[in-house]
Amino acid sequence: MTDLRAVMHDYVDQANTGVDSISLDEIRHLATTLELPDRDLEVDAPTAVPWYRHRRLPVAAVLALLALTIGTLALLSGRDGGMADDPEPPAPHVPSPLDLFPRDVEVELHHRSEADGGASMTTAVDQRATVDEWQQFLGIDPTAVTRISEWRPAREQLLVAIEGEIDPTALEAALASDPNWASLTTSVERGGATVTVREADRTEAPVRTPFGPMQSHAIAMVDGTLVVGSDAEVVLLALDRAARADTLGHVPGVQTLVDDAATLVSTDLYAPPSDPPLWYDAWLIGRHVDEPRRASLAIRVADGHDPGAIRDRIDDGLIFELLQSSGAPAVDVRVDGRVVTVVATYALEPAGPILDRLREASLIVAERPSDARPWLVIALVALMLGLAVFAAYVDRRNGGGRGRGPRTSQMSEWAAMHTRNNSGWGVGGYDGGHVSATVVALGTVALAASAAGADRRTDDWIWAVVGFAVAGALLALSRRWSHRPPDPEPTLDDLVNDELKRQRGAGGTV
Amino acid sequence: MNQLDRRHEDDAAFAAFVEVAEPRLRRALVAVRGPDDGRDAAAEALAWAWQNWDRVQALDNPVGYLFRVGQSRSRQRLHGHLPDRRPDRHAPYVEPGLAPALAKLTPTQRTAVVLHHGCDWTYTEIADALGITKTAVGTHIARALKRLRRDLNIEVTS
Repeated sequence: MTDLRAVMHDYVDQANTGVDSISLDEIRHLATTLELPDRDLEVDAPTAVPWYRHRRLPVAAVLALLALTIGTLALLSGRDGGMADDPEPPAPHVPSPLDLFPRDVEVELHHRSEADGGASMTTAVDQRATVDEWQQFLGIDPTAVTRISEWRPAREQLLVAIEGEIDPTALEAALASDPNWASLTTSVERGGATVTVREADRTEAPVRTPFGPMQSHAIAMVDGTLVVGSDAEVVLLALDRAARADTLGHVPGVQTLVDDAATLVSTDLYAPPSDPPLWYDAWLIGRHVDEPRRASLAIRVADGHDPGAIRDRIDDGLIFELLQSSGAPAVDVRVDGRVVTVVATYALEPAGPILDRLREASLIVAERPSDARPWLVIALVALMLGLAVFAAYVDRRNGGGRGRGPRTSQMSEWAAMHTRNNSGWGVGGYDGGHVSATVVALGTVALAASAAGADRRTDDWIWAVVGFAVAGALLALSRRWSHRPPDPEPTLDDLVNDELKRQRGAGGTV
Repeated sequence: MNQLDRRHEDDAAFAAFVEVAEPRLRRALVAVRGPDDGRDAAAEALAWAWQNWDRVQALDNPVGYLFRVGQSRSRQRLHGHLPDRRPDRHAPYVEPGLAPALAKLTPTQRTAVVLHHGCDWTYTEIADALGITKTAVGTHIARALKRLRRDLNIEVTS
């Protein structure tokens, strides 16, 4: 190991080896022959400040502003759409004959047979039903039938949905003229549909039909679909299911209701009397009726909204509403991640009305963001001000605006240090870079705070934190990278006079 | 006191100043700027001091200030290059890796560490000479020592 001080001394000694001392006469001679004006002692700025130091702060500022711009645009785009972060929303419900059947049962589907040129429509019950039998029983041509959906809920129970070109007039004529069912025919109205219930003579053998031997059956037309059941109860339940599905089918999800957010029913229903209505982004993703008096509904809360707040909202609003009705429902609202599930159980009422109410509960649609334009203007003004201050700062560093060249002086730095001329805005103090960074930071915080305060979206708070982080980083970088510009740049006379004044006190002269 | 007496008094004071300041100033500038340019810079700085003796004699650290004057004059000829050290068989042996290691330092680090460890200048003197704070001087020297320690495996004693 070598001692550094000794090595350095050797280094300096070696450098001075052979160097003669400077005599007094030489100095005086030099002073008389050399002109040494004060200004000759100034050095050019580029040697004092590396070029890259001039560029770091602008680059950092540009990057920070770019990040702020991107964040702002993302934030604003999220406001406009209200659901920008959510992937594909569920497709709207399309009414289907399958709505007649419970969702969790297996329905056997039959299509028109191609083997006999479409002359017959086979079913699982009777694959040999002829065209005449179809015509006599239902007044339809089986070649016009496109699909038959068949479900057997129990032994000797049957529910069939027939799709195709069905002429209601021909159907009525067949129902009226079929001699096999003339003994007892009644009609029941349900949900706007007429259910024709026919019974055969009990003393005789069951009547042969395309669906097999039947003693009685019920027939109804729903949305162009012919429904045939083994008894009236089967058909009526099917009609109820279709009605509920149809009702829900017109609620294709909360998303499409955003534009109708002022829907009175939802506003009145889910605003507790003491609170103003609040709106949230949510999708209806599930609805079920667990027969007979229990129904559930699930909504997925869009990103940016608090599922817990929606749960509380439903708790307050929905329960308040349901308590106004009969049936004394029990409502359970659960939160699983971003999914809010509402389960309602009525003691007396059937499940259909429950589901309707739950559907209305789903009408908690997009909250209308309050007008954040003033805050946005403030934020933009702050950003522009920051840019202006920053530009002035850069301009001053480059010597612009004062008629001076791009020079600084180590002398002036030296003098500034000695005269303690740190007023806070000049050398070594709080300069323009810090000011611009501060203003940009304030603009960011104002923007994030306005967004967060406008509609209490959780992700806006994240943006606020990001804004703080960016602003802090910018401040740190500006403090680290900003060069201390001497201002104004004095002459050597000024520097020495300042130093003498400092040493002698005020009023000192040279 | 008449003007002539005052002139004689100034001459005596300047001579005394040169006697003390010249070795320190020359040694430092030669160490930083090389034998030729460093000596010329020191001579010009002292000549400037003679021209402006009234001001210089009032300074707390005139040597530091003159170092800065001389460095400014020298920088007009040499911009940040290490002095060309010609081998001299009469010169003391120097760690061969030192010059390359010093060349890796920044000019401020190099000047600070040479002035402090090679010329025995105090932090205050170096701060005045370089126009930076004492804290900055300490930082530059610490960083310089760290790099020298890494490059040379030199034991650093403070």
